[in-house]
Amino acid sequence: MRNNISINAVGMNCNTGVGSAAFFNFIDTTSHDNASPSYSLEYFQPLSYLSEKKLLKSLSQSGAIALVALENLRSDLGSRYNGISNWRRGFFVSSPSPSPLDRANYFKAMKQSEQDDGEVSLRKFGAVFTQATPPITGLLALPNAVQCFGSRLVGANGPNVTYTSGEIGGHLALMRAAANINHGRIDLAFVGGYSFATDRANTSTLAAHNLLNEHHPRIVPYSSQSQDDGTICGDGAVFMTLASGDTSPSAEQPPLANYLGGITCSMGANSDAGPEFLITALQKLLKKVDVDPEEIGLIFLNASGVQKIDQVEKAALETVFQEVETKPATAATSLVWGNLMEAGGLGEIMLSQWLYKRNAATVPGKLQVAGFFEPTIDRRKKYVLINRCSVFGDCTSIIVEPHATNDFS
Amino acid sequence: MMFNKQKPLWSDQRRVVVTGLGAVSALGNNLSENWQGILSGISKSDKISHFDASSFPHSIGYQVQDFKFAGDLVTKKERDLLSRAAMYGCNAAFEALHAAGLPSSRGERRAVILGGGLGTPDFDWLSRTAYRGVFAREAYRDAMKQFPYMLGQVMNRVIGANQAAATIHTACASSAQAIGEAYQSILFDEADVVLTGGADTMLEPLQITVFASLGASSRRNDDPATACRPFDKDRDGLVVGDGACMMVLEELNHALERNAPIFAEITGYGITNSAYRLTDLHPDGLGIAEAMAMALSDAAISPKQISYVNAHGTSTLNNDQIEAAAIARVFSQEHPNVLVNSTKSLTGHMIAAAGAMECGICIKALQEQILPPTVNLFEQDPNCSVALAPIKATPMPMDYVMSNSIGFGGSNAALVIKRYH
Repeated sequence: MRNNISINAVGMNCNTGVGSAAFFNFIDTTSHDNASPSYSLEYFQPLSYLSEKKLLKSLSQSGAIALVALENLRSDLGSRYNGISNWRRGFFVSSPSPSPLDRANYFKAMKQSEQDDGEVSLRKFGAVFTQATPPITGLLALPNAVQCFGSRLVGANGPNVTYTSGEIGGHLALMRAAANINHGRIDLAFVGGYSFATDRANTSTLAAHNLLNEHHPRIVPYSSQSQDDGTICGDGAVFMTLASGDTSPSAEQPPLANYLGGITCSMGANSDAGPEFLITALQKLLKKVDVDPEEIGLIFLNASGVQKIDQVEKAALETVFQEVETKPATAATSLVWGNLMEAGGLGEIMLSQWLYKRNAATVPGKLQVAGFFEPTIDRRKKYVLINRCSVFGDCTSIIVEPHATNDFS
Repeated sequence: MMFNKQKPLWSDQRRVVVTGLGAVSALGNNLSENWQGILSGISKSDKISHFDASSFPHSIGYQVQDFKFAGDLVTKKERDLLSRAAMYGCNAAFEALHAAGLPSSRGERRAVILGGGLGTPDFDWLSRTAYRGVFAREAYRDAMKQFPYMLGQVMNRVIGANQAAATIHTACASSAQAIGEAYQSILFDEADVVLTGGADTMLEPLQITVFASLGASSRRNDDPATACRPFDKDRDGLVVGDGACMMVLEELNHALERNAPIFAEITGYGITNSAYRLTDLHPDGLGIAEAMAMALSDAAISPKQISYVNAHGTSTLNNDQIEAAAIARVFSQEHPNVLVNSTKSLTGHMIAAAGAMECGICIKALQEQILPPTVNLFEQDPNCSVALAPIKATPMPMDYVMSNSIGFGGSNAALVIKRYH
């Protein structure tokens, strides 16, 4: 059954700046060069963007990046949400696994616990920790810290979830939020994801498991060359609001998009699985939301650069869209943002609407993927498919209908 | 209350039952040992022996003992990705799956939804790598063990799930919320069988220090067995524990068709967020009360039908007082004498596994019709005005019980569990 959920506002914070306008400006430049700013937000300064500046004492850098995106969402909400103060609100967020470097709060106590041989003494550490470290710093990396402070910021005291599920967490949060709206538990959902995976500890972990692309500055998706294998993570955060399509909060301003439905699937017990599990899931999703493959105009690919996963995704899409005469256009944000991990798969919704309402029908060069379907969007085809896949073979897909002010029929 | 809604129509069509249950904790390494430990009423809290904690401000805990990893269903490669807590989770999951007659598949929709821990690194590893500025790839092979979702990924493969594994972290409410979300996924017709629960250990140097520095841990290091005293006048903080509890939730007709054993039925789930401070409950306790009211409404029952509330009851000053007031707010009119206690005095605070463990205890209580004992109560705090269960395990007819979980960050989860006839 197709959902009737509207997506009404968005806030973002990534390597191209705070807010969607900064991202669109970057994408819309005439250069077809895929060059983008560093994927890292290690040196991002959140202070000037936060209304509750004292929160910075209780947040890691990743949490601060997320709250800036949420503040950006609040400014986008602005006029749209007047008069809905009594709406029941939920908060659904995808959070990163804390990095070992998020534990730097322990280092001061470790420094004070070094023995003559340079080793850190556990006994000394136990004795000095409470003196060396302010209490709250032990919880800086708490994965649900953003849920705590974010929900307070937007008055969301209803159902809430923090997923720590890796790359698919953003879609899981979106699907859970939609289910809660559909079943009458809330009126308005704040949905988001944030990632801070560019630090050296995370990249070392990926490298140790041969999941990191160590030969290029940017992801090279769908390649068969061994030196191109692996992903490159990006930092960033995206938040959005969802409401029932029947109770859209603003009659004046149309939604960004409608969410029709989503599905999750897994390689399950067969880690050497081919694309069949994803093919089956995509076909089920299309049937569930009553969309023909012919009606998909654009696909946002996962395109993480991990060749095993890229191959499964490509083979699955080629099968599902085999009979379609004019193939959907393909695009990938990972080329610009890096693999946004827990924040991935959400910013594409906002980007869908932008691509559907602009004059040019071609996917901008910075988002184009070589060796896949053509980059021209037939915008008479109303729907957009957005894929996410984890390195462990769990995948999610959602279908949205971007609200386009132009009539392409 | 704001989120108190009428019973929705969909639940008339689908019901959710528990068909498998497994547990690992200080009380024992399987469900039977754990239930016997609950009935015994003997606290297993002791000096921490996993590492030398003698210099730490909090040096006691409820430790899993004589644990042997039952890794038959896990590959060598997967085993290398599992932390100690995840191994507890595996054993509990295997016990639950075995009881449920899984993983042989009938082509149903299977999912894994777990509560995951903080993923805090091992002290020795951290002090030799990131602290030293070491970032060599060889040094980071074990770092993936810290990812909270590794257990879910491995379990997804073990049960042949055809849906993505979901891992939830809402601190101490994590696994209660995982069970609630698993229940909803079956109710909402998204899955037929879900492996759910949680695994955690806070008995590690870095975790211990966090609670100690927050002032949340008991200082009764010289009296470990009675240090955790939920609702007692002289309680002074929590005592951490480690372990796991896993269960198989299944759509009722699906379970009946394959003659699966049915332990109990999950009939209500409430989840609210009352963010106040990261580590403090909102003093009005409204969010906790709303979660309980939501769960009752979801189960379409009145407060007087609840025989027993397994409280979150951490043994901290604030939690117990605020939770007791919230319970009174929900039950005082229709059922002021509903029996309450916290079994953390027997299991310790298992953090991300706590909600699942306590839900598991509720399931056994319903199955056996025995009320878990109130342990380590010397004098009830007059500011915790709830009717506490007897100090001995007591046979009692029960149809519905409630399990509460409250997490740092403001997550409040309540589950209603029904005896299955």
